Amino acid sequence: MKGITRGLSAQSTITGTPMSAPEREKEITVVVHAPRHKEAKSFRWPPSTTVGEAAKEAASAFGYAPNGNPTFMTSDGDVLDRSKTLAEAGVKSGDKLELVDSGGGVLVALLGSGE
Amino acid sequence: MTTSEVTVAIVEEELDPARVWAIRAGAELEWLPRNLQLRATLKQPKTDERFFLLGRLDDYKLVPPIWDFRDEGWAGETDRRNFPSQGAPPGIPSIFHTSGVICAPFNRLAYAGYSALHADWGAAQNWVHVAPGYVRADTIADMLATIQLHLNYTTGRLG
Repeated sequence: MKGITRGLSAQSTITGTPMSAPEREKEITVVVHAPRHKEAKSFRWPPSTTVGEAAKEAASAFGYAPNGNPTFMTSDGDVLDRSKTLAEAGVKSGDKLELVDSGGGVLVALLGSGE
Repeated sequence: MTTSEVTVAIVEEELDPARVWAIRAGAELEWLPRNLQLRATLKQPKTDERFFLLGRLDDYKLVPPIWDFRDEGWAGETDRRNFPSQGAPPGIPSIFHTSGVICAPFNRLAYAGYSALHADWGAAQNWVHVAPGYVRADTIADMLATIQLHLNYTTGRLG
């Protein structure tokens, strides 16, 4: 993924396309919890990364199948819009996020109504 | 190993992270291996009321659990007063159906032969692969987290 530095844990970091020093300085470091794992993982992303991209990457690192709809829930309980960038969503370094699936109830979705 | 023993082994492996999740979420879990039942007490943040979610895990994970809400004594099956009102995060359809069934691929009650909400899904054995694009949860912790996530956006009860 171009321009994105990926951290699978605080100890082991996978680096993508090389970034300039100013770009690295702007990166957001967050701690992500996933329900199926006892341990959290740390990640670093540029603030321009979309929530959906970041959540997909985190989901993959936690071993989730690629057919999900992952996003993040903040410690305040807000579910982040996958189409927004991390910056637009208000994510800041040091935030703790919970990986959640943003897929909905199936019958409701199939009917396309609020029923 | 009997089918029941296999289920217990699978569930107990998945319960480790589920218990860690429960601490984060403020939920309480009680596992009854003899009955293959998981009792989860969840809190509805908008009302501070408790909801009592029962998971029946026989044959898990050949088929998904049967998830339903009960009263405080873990009775009251199908009583709408035990079921949360509809609600979900913005832009996401609720999994709490007005029929009083958690309508998601990870609930056996949604399939033909149970509530029959989704005869179109075929057998419950297909639960991991049905309805792509909709809510995914294939471990106990992920199911609990999904139900709690939707509960966070509900207010009150269905009945």
